[in-house]
Amino acid sequence: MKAFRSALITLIIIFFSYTLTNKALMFDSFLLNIAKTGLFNSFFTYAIALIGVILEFTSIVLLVLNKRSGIFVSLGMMCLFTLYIVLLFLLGRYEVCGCGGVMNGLDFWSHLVINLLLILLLIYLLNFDCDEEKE
Amino acid sequence: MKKKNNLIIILVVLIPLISLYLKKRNINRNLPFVFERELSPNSFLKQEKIIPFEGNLNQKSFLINDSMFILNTQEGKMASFISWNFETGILDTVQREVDSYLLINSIRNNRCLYVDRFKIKSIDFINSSTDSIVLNNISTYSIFECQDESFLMLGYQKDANETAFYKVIQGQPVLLKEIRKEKINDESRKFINNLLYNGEFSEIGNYIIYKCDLQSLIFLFDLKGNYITTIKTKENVPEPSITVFNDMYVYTRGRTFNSNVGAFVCKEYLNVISYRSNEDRRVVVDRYSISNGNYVDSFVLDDLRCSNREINQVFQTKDLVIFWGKEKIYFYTLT
Repeated sequence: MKAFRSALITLIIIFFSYTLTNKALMFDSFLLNIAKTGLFNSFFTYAIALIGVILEFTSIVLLVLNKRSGIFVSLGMMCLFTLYIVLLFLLGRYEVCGCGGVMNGLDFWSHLVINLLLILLLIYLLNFDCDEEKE
Repeated sequence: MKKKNNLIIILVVLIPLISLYLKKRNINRNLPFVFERELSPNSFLKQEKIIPFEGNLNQKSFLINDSMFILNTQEGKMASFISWNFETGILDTVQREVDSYLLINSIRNNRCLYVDRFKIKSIDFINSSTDSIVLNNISTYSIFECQDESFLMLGYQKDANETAFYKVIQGQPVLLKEIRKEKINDESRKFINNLLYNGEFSEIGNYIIYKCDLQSLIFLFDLKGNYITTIKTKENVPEPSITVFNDMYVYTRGRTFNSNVGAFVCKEYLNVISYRSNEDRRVVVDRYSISNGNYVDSFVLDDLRCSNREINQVFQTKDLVIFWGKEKIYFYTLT
Protein backbone atom coordinates (compact mmCIF):
# COMPACT_ATOMS: atom_id res chain seq x y z
CA MET A 1 0.00 0.00 0.00
CA LYS A 2 2.91 2.32 0.74
CA ALA A 3 4.11 1.86 -2.83
CA PHE A 4 0.67 2.89 -4.07
CA ARG A 5 0.79 6.01 -1.89
CA SER A 6 4.28 6.86 -3.21
CA ALA A 7 3.11 6.40 -6.79
CA LEU A 8 0.18 8.75 -6.23
CA ILE A 9 2.40 11.39 -4.62
CA THR A 10 4.92 11.07 -7.46
CA LEU A 11 2.14 11.66 -9.98
CA ILE A 12 1.02 14.78 -8.12
CA ILE A 13 4.63 16.05 -7.96
CA ILE A 14 5.04 15.52 -11.73
CA PHE A 15 1.76 17.32 -12.41
CA PHE A 16 2.59 20.30 -10.19
CA SER A 17 6.15 20.50 -11.56
CA TYR A 18 4.84 20.52 -15.12
CA THR A 19 2.37 23.36 -14.51
CA LEU A 20 4.91 25.30 -12.40
CA THR A 21 7.59 25.07 -15.12
CA ASN A 22 5.11 26.29 -17.71
CA LYS A 23 4.02 29.18 -15.49
CA ALA A 24 7.64 30.18 -14.90
CA LEU A 25 8.55 29.93 -18.58
CA MET A 26 5.53 32.00 -19.64
CA PHE A 27 5.17 34.19 -16.58
CA ASP A 28 4.03 37.21 -18.62
CA SER A 29 1.13 35.37 -20.18
CA PHE A 30 0.25 33.94 -16.73
CA LEU A 31 0.16 37.51 -15.35
CA LEU A 32 -1.91 38.75 -18.28
CA ASN A 33 -4.38 35.94 -17.76
CA ILE A 34 -4.96 37.12 -14.18
CA ALA A 35 -5.08 40.79 -15.23
CA LYS A 36 -7.75 40.08 -17.86
CA THR A 37 -10.22 39.11 -15.16
CA GLY A 38 -10.39 42.82 -14.35
CA LEU A 39 -10.72 41.96 -10.65
CA PHE A 40 -7.27 43.06 -9.52
CA ASN A 41 -5.01 46.05 -10.01
CA SER A 42 -1.38 45.66 -11.14
CA PHE A 43 -0.05 45.15 -7.59
CA PHE A 44 -2.52 42.41 -6.72
CA THR A 45 -2.02 40.75 -10.10
CA TYR A 46 1.68 40.37 -9.31
CA ALA A 47 0.96 39.38 -5.70
CA ILE A 48 -1.54 36.67 -6.65
CA ALA A 49 0.73 35.28 -9.36
CA LEU A 50 3.69 35.16 -6.97
CA ILE A 51 1.66 33.61 -4.15
CA GLY A 52 0.41 30.96 -6.58
CA VAL A 53 3.91 30.12 -7.80
CA ILE A 54 5.38 30.09 -4.26
CA LEU A 55 2.56 27.87 -2.97
CA GLU A 56 3.02 25.43 -5.83
CA PHE A 57 6.80 25.36 -5.32
CA THR A 58 6.39 24.81 -1.55
CA SER A 59 3.93 21.97 -2.18
CA ILE A 60 6.38 20.26 -4.53
CA VAL A 61 9.31 20.60 -2.10
CA LEU A 62 7.29 19.32 0.85
CA LEU A 63 5.84 16.45 -1.18
CA VAL A 64 9.34 15.47 -2.40
CA LEU A 65 10.53 15.44 1.21
CA ASN A 66 7.62 13.10 1.82
CA LYS A 67 6.12 15.34 4.48
CA ARG A 68 2.47 15.11 5.48
CA SER A 69 2.45 18.89 5.51
CA GLY A 70 3.05 18.72 1.73
CA ILE A 71 -0.35 17.10 1.30
CA PHE A 72 -1.92 19.75 3.58
CA VAL A 73 -0.38 22.64 1.66
CA SER A 74 -1.35 21.05 -1.68
CA LEU A 75 -4.91 20.49 -0.48
CA GLY A 76 -5.20 24.08 0.76
CA MET A 77 -3.76 25.42 -2.48
CA MET A 78 -6.11 23.32 -4.64
CA CYS A 79 -9.14 24.36 -2.56
CA LEU A 80 -8.20 28.04 -2.90
CA PHE A 81 -7.58 27.65 -6.62
CA THR A 82 -10.88 25.82 -7.14
CA LEU A 83 -12.68 28.56 -5.22
CA TYR A 84 -11.00 31.14 -7.48
CA ILE A 85 -12.10 29.50 -10.74
CA VAL A 86 -15.64 28.94 -9.40
CA LEU A 87 -15.79 32.62 -8.43
CA LEU A 88 -14.61 33.64 -11.92
CA PHE A 89 -17.21 31.38 -13.48
CA LEU A 90 -20.03 32.75 -11.33
CA LEU A 91 -18.98 36.33 -12.12
CA GLY A 92 -18.92 35.46 -15.82
CA ARG A 93 -15.18 36.09 -16.08
CA TYR A 94 -13.89 32.59 -16.76
CA GLU A 95 -12.84 32.12 -20.35
CA VAL A 96 -10.14 29.47 -20.61
CA CYS A 97 -7.50 28.02 -18.30
CA GLY A 98 -4.09 29.67 -18.18
CA CYS A 99 -2.31 27.13 -15.96
CA GLY A 100 0.27 26.47 -18.63
CA GLY A 101 1.23 23.71 -21.07
CA VAL A 102 -1.43 21.25 -22.17
CA MET A 103 -3.70 22.62 -19.44
CA ASN A 104 -3.99 25.93 -21.32
CA GLY A 105 -7.33 26.45 -22.99
CA LEU A 106 -9.29 24.07 -20.74
CA ASP A 107 -12.93 25.01 -20.38
CA PHE A 108 -14.37 25.56 -16.93
CA TRP A 109 -15.99 22.13 -16.52
CA SER A 110 -12.89 20.16 -17.49
CA HIS A 111 -10.83 22.32 -15.17
CA LEU A 112 -13.28 21.85 -12.31
CA VAL A 113 -13.26 18.06 -12.76
CA ILE A 114 -9.43 17.97 -12.72
CA ASN A 115 -9.31 20.17 -9.61
CA LEU A 116 -11.92 18.07 -7.78
CA LEU A 117 -10.14 14.85 -8.69
CA LEU A 118 -6.91 16.28 -7.28
CA ILE A 119 -8.71 17.43 -4.12
CA LEU A 120 -10.27 13.98 -3.62
CA LEU A 121 -6.91 12.35 -4.23
CA LEU A 122 -5.24 14.59 -1.64
CA ILE A 123 -8.06 13.91 0.89
CA TYR A 124 -7.60 10.19 0.26
CA LEU A 125 -3.83 10.50 0.86
CA LEU A 126 -4.50 12.46 4.04
CA ASN A 127 -6.92 9.77 5.32
CA PHE A 128 -4.43 7.11 4.24
CA ASP A 129 -1.78 8.76 6.44
CA CYS A 130 -4.23 8.94 9.40
CA ASP A 131 -5.01 5.24 9.08
CA GLU A 132 -1.31 4.40 8.94
CA GLU A 133 -0.69 6.41 12.10
CA LYS A 134 -3.52 4.61 13.96
CA GLU A 135 -2.11 1.21 12.96
CA MET B 1 -17.58 8.73 12.39
CA LYS B 2 -15.44 8.19 9.29
CA LYS B 3 -18.54 7.38 7.19
CA LYS B 4 -20.16 10.61 8.37
CA ASN B 5 -17.06 12.59 7.35
CA ASN B 6 -17.05 11.01 3.90
CA LEU B 7 -20.72 11.86 3.45
CA ILE B 8 -20.05 15.50 4.35
CA ILE B 9 -17.15 15.64 1.84
CA ILE B 10 -19.34 14.14 -0.88
CA LEU B 11 -22.13 16.64 -0.14
CA VAL B 12 -19.69 19.57 -0.12
CA VAL B 13 -18.45 18.53 -3.55
CA LEU B 14 -21.84 17.58 -5.05
CA ILE B 15 -23.95 20.61 -4.04
CA PRO B 16 -21.75 23.23 -5.78
CA LEU B 17 -21.44 20.90 -8.80
CA ILE B 18 -25.22 20.61 -9.18
CA SER B 19 -25.77 24.37 -8.78
CA LEU B 20 -23.00 25.13 -11.29
CA TYR B 21 -24.46 22.61 -13.74
CA LEU B 22 -27.83 24.33 -13.52
CA LYS B 23 -26.16 27.70 -14.14
CA LYS B 24 -24.27 26.25 -17.13
CA ARG B 25 -27.53 24.98 -18.67
CA ASN B 26 -29.00 28.41 -18.27
CA ILE B 27 -25.96 30.10 -19.87
CA ASN B 28 -25.93 27.68 -22.81
CA ARG B 29 -29.60 28.27 -23.52
CA ASN B 30 -29.24 32.04 -23.60
CA LEU B 31 -26.28 33.58 -25.41
CA PRO B 32 -26.20 37.07 -23.89
CA PHE B 33 -27.65 40.00 -25.85
CA VAL B 34 -29.62 37.88 -28.30
CA PHE B 35 -32.76 39.84 -29.14
CA GLU B 36 -36.19 38.74 -30.27
CA ARG B 37 -36.46 38.87 -34.04
CA GLU B 38 -39.41 39.33 -36.34
CA LEU B 39 -38.79 36.74 -39.03
CA SER B 40 -39.98 37.20 -42.59
CA PRO B 41 -39.36 34.99 -45.68
CA ASN B 42 -36.16 35.49 -47.68
CA SER B 43 -37.06 37.27 -50.88
CA PHE B 44 -33.86 39.29 -51.05
CA LEU B 45 -30.96 36.89 -51.68
CA LYS B 46 -30.56 33.97 -54.07
CA GLN B 47 -27.66 31.53 -53.78
CA GLU B 48 -25.55 31.25 -56.95
CA LYS B 49 -22.60 29.06 -56.07
CA ILE B 50 -20.40 27.75 -53.28
CA ILE B 51 -16.62 27.44 -53.64
CA PRO B 52 -14.35 25.67 -51.15
CA PHE B 53 -11.51 27.91 -49.97
CA GLU B 54 -8.97 26.71 -47.43
CA GLY B 55 -7.32 30.00 -46.57
CA ASN B 56 -6.55 31.53 -43.24
CA LEU B 57 -9.94 32.82 -42.24
CA ASN B 58 -8.77 35.10 -39.49
CA GLN B 59 -6.76 37.53 -41.58
CA LYS B 60 -7.95 40.71 -43.25
CA SER B 61 -9.17 40.37 -46.78
CA PHE B 62 -10.18 42.84 -49.46
CA LEU B 63 -12.26 42.59 -52.57
CA ILE B 64 -10.77 44.33 -55.60
CA ASN B 65 -12.54 43.96 -58.95
CA ASP B 66 -12.83 40.20 -59.49
CA SER B 67 -10.14 39.26 -56.98
CA MET B 68 -9.95 38.78 -53.28
CA PHE B 69 -6.73 39.90 -51.58
CA ILE B 70 -5.93 38.26 -48.30
CA LEU B 71 -3.24 39.45 -45.95
CA ASN B 72 -1.66 36.10 -45.27
CA THR B 73 1.55 36.31 -43.26
CA GLN B 74 4.13 38.82 -42.17
CA GLU B 75 7.72 37.91 -41.38
CA GLY B 76 9.78 40.88 -40.29
CA LYS B 77 9.09 43.64 -42.77
CA MET B 78 7.87 41.32 -45.50
CA ALA B 79 4.11 40.91 -45.83
CA SER B 80 2.60 38.26 -48.01
CA PHE B 81 -0.79 38.55 -49.72
CA ILE B 82 -2.77 35.89 -51.47
CA SER B 83 -4.87 37.02 -54.39
CA TRP B 84 -7.61 34.84 -55.73
CA ASN B 85 -9.54 35.60 -58.87
CA PHE B 86 -13.17 34.49 -58.74
CA GLU B 87 -13.58 34.33 -62.52
CA THR B 88 -10.38 32.52 -63.51
CA GLY B 89 -9.82 30.69 -60.22
CA ILE B 90 -6.13 31.71 -60.32
CA LEU B 91 -4.42 31.76 -56.96
CA ASP B 92 -1.38 34.02 -56.67
CA THR B 93 1.00 35.19 -53.97
CA VAL B 94 2.22 38.79 -53.73
CA GLN B 95 5.00 39.85 -51.37
CA ARG B 96 5.64 43.45 -50.32
CA GLU B 97 7.95 45.17 -47.88
CA VAL B 98 6.10 47.12 -45.17
CA ASP B 99 6.88 48.72 -41.82
CA SER B 100 6.93 46.54 -38.75
CA TYR B 101 3.57 47.47 -37.22
CA LEU B 102 1.30 46.54 -40.04
CA LEU B 103 -2.45 46.97 -39.91
CA ILE B 104 -3.70 47.23 -43.46
CA ASN B 105 -6.95 49.16 -43.65
CA SER B 106 -7.75 49.43 -47.32
CA ILE B 107 -6.48 48.58 -50.78
CA ARG B 108 -7.49 50.56 -53.85
CA ASN B 109 -5.87 51.41 -57.17
CA ASN B 110 -2.82 49.29 -56.35
CA ARG B 111 -2.29 51.31 -53.19
CA CYS B 112 -2.47 49.73 -49.79
CA LEU B 113 -3.20 51.96 -46.76
CA TYR B 114 -2.25 51.02 -43.25
CA VAL B 115 -1.89 52.55 -39.81
CA ASP B 116 1.53 52.38 -38.20
CA ARG B 117 1.62 53.56 -34.59
CA PHE B 118 -1.39 55.88 -35.15
CA LYS B 119 0.11 57.35 -38.33
CA ILE B 120 -1.17 56.86 -41.87
CA LYS B 121 1.16 55.11 -44.27
CA SER B 122 0.73 53.77 -47.75
CA ILE B 123 2.53 51.43 -50.08
CA ASP B 124 2.27 51.22 -53.82
CA PHE B 125 1.82 47.67 -55.07
CA ILE B 126 3.44 48.38 -58.42
CA ASN B 127 6.69 50.14 -57.52
CA SER B 128 6.80 49.27 -53.78
CA SER B 129 7.24 52.94 -52.83
CA THR B 130 6.04 53.92 -49.36
CA ASP B 131 4.51 57.20 -48.28
CA SER B 132 3.57 58.74 -44.94
CA ILE B 133 0.77 61.24 -44.28
CA VAL B 134 1.27 63.48 -41.26
CA LEU B 135 -1.81 64.93 -39.54
CA ASN B 136 -1.05 67.35 -36.72
CA ASN B 137 -2.47 66.31 -33.34
CA ILE B 138 -4.65 63.56 -34.77
CA SER B 139 -3.95 59.93 -33.97
CA THR B 140 -5.33 57.65 -36.65
CA TYR B 141 -7.15 54.48 -35.61
CA SER B 142 -8.48 53.31 -38.94
CA ILE B 143 -8.34 54.60 -42.52
CA PHE B 144 -10.09 53.97 -45.82
CA GLU B 145 -9.54 55.39 -49.29
CA CYS B 146 -12.66 56.85 -50.91
CA GLN B 147 -13.50 56.83 -54.60
CA ASP B 148 -12.38 60.45 -55.03
CA GLU B 149 -8.93 59.58 -53.60
CA SER B 150 -9.65 61.37 -50.33
CA PHE B 151 -9.35 59.39 -47.10
CA LEU B 152 -11.99 58.58 -44.54
CA MET B 153 -10.56 58.02 -41.10
CA LEU B 154 -11.44 57.38 -37.50
CA GLY B 155 -9.11 59.20 -35.18
CA TYR B 156 -8.52 61.03 -31.94
CA GLN B 157 -7.70 64.71 -31.76
CA LYS B 158 -5.63 65.39 -28.70
CA ASP B 159 -6.35 69.14 -28.44
CA ALA B 160 -10.11 68.68 -28.48
CA ASN B 161 -10.14 65.29 -26.66
CA GLU B 162 -12.36 64.18 -29.46
CA THR B 163 -12.77 60.79 -31.12
CA ALA B 164 -14.35 61.37 -34.51
CA PHE B 165 -14.56 60.49 -38.18
CA TYR B 166 -12.58 62.81 -40.42
CA LYS B 167 -12.30 63.18 -44.16
CA VAL B 168 -8.74 63.90 -45.25
CA ILE B 169 -8.57 65.95 -48.43
CA GLN B 170 -5.05 66.67 -49.71
CA GLY B 171 -3.58 66.11 -46.27
CA GLN B 172 -6.11 68.34 -44.45
CA PRO B 173 -8.58 66.72 -42.03
CA VAL B 174 -12.23 67.82 -42.02
CA LEU B 175 -14.47 66.78 -39.12
CA LEU B 176 -17.37 64.61 -40.26
CA LYS B 177 -18.92 63.02 -37.20
CA GLU B 178 -17.92 63.30 -33.57
CA ILE B 179 -18.49 60.07 -31.67
CA ARG B 180 -16.91 60.76 -28.29
CA LYS B 181 -15.72 63.88 -26.54
CA GLU B 182 -14.06 63.79 -23.15
CA LYS B 183 -12.28 66.39 -21.10
CA ILE B 184 -9.67 63.92 -19.85
CA ASN B 185 -6.30 65.30 -20.88
CA ASP B 186 -4.57 61.96 -20.87
CA GLU B 187 -2.38 60.65 -23.66
CA SER B 188 -3.30 57.07 -22.78
CA ARG B 189 -6.93 57.82 -23.64
CA LYS B 190 -6.18 57.42 -27.34
CA PHE B 191 -5.33 53.75 -26.81
CA ILE B 192 -8.56 53.18 -24.89
CA ASN B 193 -10.71 54.94 -27.50
CA ASN B 194 -9.01 52.94 -30.22
CA LEU B 195 -9.98 49.72 -28.44
CA LEU B 196 -13.50 50.95 -27.63
CA TYR B 197 -14.29 51.70 -31.28
CA ASN B 198 -12.22 48.90 -32.77
CA GLY B 199 -13.66 47.96 -36.14
CA GLU B 200 -13.14 48.26 -39.85
CA PHE B 201 -14.19 50.20 -42.89
CA SER B 202 -15.56 48.38 -45.89
CA GLU B 203 -17.17 49.31 -49.16
CA ILE B 204 -20.60 47.73 -49.67
CA GLY B 205 -22.64 48.61 -52.75
CA ASN B 206 -22.87 52.38 -52.94
CA TYR B 207 -21.78 52.94 -49.36
CA ILE B 208 -18.75 52.82 -47.13
CA ILE B 209 -19.47 51.51 -43.65
CA TYR B 210 -17.50 51.48 -40.43
CA LYS B 211 -18.60 48.52 -38.34
CA CYS B 212 -17.53 48.43 -34.70
CA ASP B 213 -16.52 44.92 -33.64
CA LEU B 214 -17.43 45.33 -29.99
CA GLN B 215 -20.19 47.92 -29.99
CA SER B 216 -23.62 47.92 -31.62
CA LEU B 217 -22.70 50.71 -34.01
CA ILE B 218 -22.47 50.90 -37.79
CA PHE B 219 -21.59 54.26 -39.39
CA LEU B 220 -22.63 54.86 -43.00
CA PHE B 221 -20.87 57.09 -45.53
CA ASP B 222 -21.26 57.56 -49.26
CA LEU B 223 -18.46 56.53 -51.64
CA LYS B 224 -16.96 60.02 -51.47
CA GLY B 225 -16.71 59.76 -47.70
CA ASN B 226 -19.62 62.01 -46.72
CA TYR B 227 -21.37 60.98 -43.51
CA ILE B 228 -24.93 59.67 -43.93
CA THR B 229 -26.15 58.08 -40.72
CA THR B 230 -25.37 55.90 -37.70
CA ILE B 231 -27.26 52.69 -37.11
CA LYS B 232 -27.40 51.30 -33.60
CA THR B 233 -28.12 47.61 -33.98
CA LYS B 234 -30.64 45.88 -31.79
CA GLU B 235 -28.38 43.47 -29.87
CA ASN B 236 -27.21 46.53 -27.90
CA VAL B 237 -24.08 45.03 -26.34
CA PRO B 238 -22.52 47.23 -23.64
CA GLU B 239 -19.40 49.30 -24.19
CA PRO B 240 -16.37 47.01 -23.81
CA SER B 241 -14.54 47.03 -20.50
CA ILE B 242 -10.80 47.69 -20.71
CA THR B 243 -8.25 47.06 -18.02
CA VAL B 244 -4.70 48.40 -17.92
CA PHE B 245 -1.83 46.18 -16.87
CA ASN B 246 1.88 47.00 -17.31
CA ASP B 247 1.09 49.67 -19.92
CA MET B 248 -0.94 47.12 -21.80
CA TYR B 249 -4.59 47.68 -22.56
CA VAL B 250 -6.64 44.51 -22.55
CA TYR B 251 -10.33 43.74 -22.87
CA THR B 252 -11.74 42.42 -19.63
CA ARG B 253 -12.97 38.89 -20.06
CA GLY B 254 -16.66 38.28 -19.59
CA ARG B 255 -17.38 42.00 -19.91
CA THR B 256 -16.66 42.46 -23.59
CA PHE B 257 -18.94 41.09 -26.28
CA ASN B 258 -18.76 40.76 -30.06
CA SER B 259 -21.52 42.63 -31.83
CA ASN B 260 -21.83 42.37 -35.62
CA VAL B 261 -20.01 40.20 -38.13
CA GLY B 262 -20.68 42.16 -41.32
CA ALA B 263 -23.28 43.96 -43.41
CA PHE B 264 -24.53 44.51 -46.94
CA VAL B 265 -27.01 46.88 -48.55
CA CYS B 266 -30.20 45.94 -50.36
CA LYS B 267 -32.36 48.82 -51.64
CA GLU B 268 -32.91 51.21 -48.73
CA TYR B 269 -32.00 48.69 -46.06
CA LEU B 270 -28.79 47.82 -44.30
CA ASN B 271 -28.67 44.04 -43.81
CA VAL B 272 -26.61 43.08 -40.79
CA ILE B 273 -25.17 39.69 -39.78
CA SER B 274 -25.21 39.90 -35.99
CA TYR B 275 -22.86 37.83 -33.86
CA ARG B 276 -25.72 37.54 -31.37
CA SER B 277 -27.78 34.68 -32.79
CA ASN B 278 -28.60 31.31 -31.24
CA GLU B 279 -29.17 29.61 -34.61
CA ASP B 280 -26.47 26.97 -35.18
CA ARG B 281 -27.25 25.72 -38.68
CA ARG B 282 -28.45 28.77 -40.58
CA VAL B 283 -27.63 32.45 -40.93
CA VAL B 284 -30.04 35.11 -39.71
CA VAL B 285 -29.90 38.54 -41.38
CA ASP B 286 -31.36 41.62 -39.65
CA ARG B 287 -32.68 44.50 -41.75
CA TYR B 288 -32.37 48.13 -40.67
CA SER B 289 -33.78 51.15 -42.45
CA ILE B 290 -31.05 53.48 -43.73
CA SER B 291 -33.42 56.46 -43.65
CA ASN B 292 -34.33 56.27 -39.94
CA GLY B 293 -31.94 53.66 -38.53
CA ASN B 294 -34.74 51.50 -37.09
CA TYR B 295 -34.87 47.72 -37.03
CA VAL B 296 -37.33 46.44 -39.67
CA ASP B 297 -37.28 42.63 -39.58
CA SER B 298 -35.03 39.61 -40.07
CA PHE B 299 -34.82 36.82 -42.62
CA VAL B 300 -33.07 33.45 -42.63
CA LEU B 301 -30.63 32.05 -45.18
CA ASP B 302 -31.49 28.35 -44.92
CA ASP B 303 -29.01 27.36 -47.64
CA LEU B 304 -26.05 28.93 -45.81
CA ARG B 305 -25.36 25.98 -43.55
CA CYS B 306 -23.51 27.60 -40.68
CA SER B 307 -24.15 29.94 -37.79
CA ASN B 308 -23.77 33.73 -37.84
CA ARG B 309 -20.67 33.38 -35.67
CA GLU B 310 -18.98 31.17 -38.27
CA ILE B 311 -19.20 33.83 -40.99
CA ASN B 312 -15.77 35.40 -41.26
CA GLN B 313 -16.29 38.19 -43.78
CA VAL B 314 -19.12 39.70 -45.78
CA PHE B 315 -18.40 41.45 -49.09
CA GLN B 316 -20.63 43.21 -51.55
CA THR B 317 -20.02 44.44 -55.08
CA LYS B 318 -23.17 45.85 -56.69
CA ASP B 319 -25.68 42.96 -56.79
CA LEU B 320 -23.26 40.31 -55.62
CA VAL B 321 -23.04 39.46 -51.92
CA ILE B 322 -20.26 37.15 -50.78
CA PHE B 323 -20.08 35.36 -47.45
CA TRP B 324 -16.83 33.78 -46.38
CA GLY B 325 -16.92 31.23 -43.59
CA LYS B 326 -16.30 27.60 -42.67
CA GLU B 327 -13.67 27.27 -45.44
CA LYS B 328 -16.23 28.05 -48.13
CA ILE B 329 -17.16 31.12 -50.15
CA TYR B 330 -20.88 31.54 -50.72
CA PHE B 331 -22.05 33.70 -53.60
CA TYR B 332 -25.50 35.28 -53.54
CA THR B 333 -27.23 37.72 -55.84
CA LEU B 334 -29.71 40.37 -54.74
CA THR B 335 -33.16 39.69 -56.13
